[in-house]
Amino acid sequence: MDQSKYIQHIADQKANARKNRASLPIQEKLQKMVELQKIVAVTRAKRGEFVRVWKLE
Amino acid sequence: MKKTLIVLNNLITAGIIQKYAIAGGIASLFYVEPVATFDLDLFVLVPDEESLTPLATIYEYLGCLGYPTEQEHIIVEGIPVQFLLPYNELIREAINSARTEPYEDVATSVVSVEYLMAIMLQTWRIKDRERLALFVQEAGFDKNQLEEILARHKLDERWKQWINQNTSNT
Repeated sequence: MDQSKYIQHIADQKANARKNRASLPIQEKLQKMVELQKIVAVTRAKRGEFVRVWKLE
Repeated sequence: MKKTLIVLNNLITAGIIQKYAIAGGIASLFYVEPVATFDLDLFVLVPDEESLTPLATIYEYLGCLGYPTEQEHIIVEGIPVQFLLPYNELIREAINSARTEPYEDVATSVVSVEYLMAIMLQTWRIKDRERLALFVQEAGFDKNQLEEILARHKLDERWKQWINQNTSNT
């Protein structure tokens, strides 16, 4: 596979992964969003900023 | 989240607001992959918009239920909610045309994908432009409806500009 085809292949794989994540049920997406919040919260805490991470019941 | 939505729906039942529509990052969750956001943006129509303090009733009502305020948010069942009045006609239309979506067994109201995209074009912050790219790639939207909204709100030139800048990446 030449380089341009390989790059396109990777781009297609990423696009498919994004579409799969986009089609998850809203509850699952919220859980993933909270995981992202936790990551961002750690980064911001290092800068002395506080953010509230949601607790999903 | 479910408890938060129940409280928001109760605001309508109690006559505190007439209608609401979830906007911003949480509305995006309904259409594209998850992005990190820290508050729940809520567009609301209130009975007395001409009041000097149109959101005061919401703050008083939720305060009586024990929900604290934190900067521009009210913390409703652990989730910071920012109540926003319609600051222009595009937002008012977005509220009035919001979609009813289920969250578990609770019905909620969410700004439609086409109006979310139009609002992103109108607000035009860096994060809006980035999110717009996600929407174009992942969200199923009605192109004709979007372009009709954009033309009506004089956002069509900005849309063309965005398309021209991003065509090679989409």
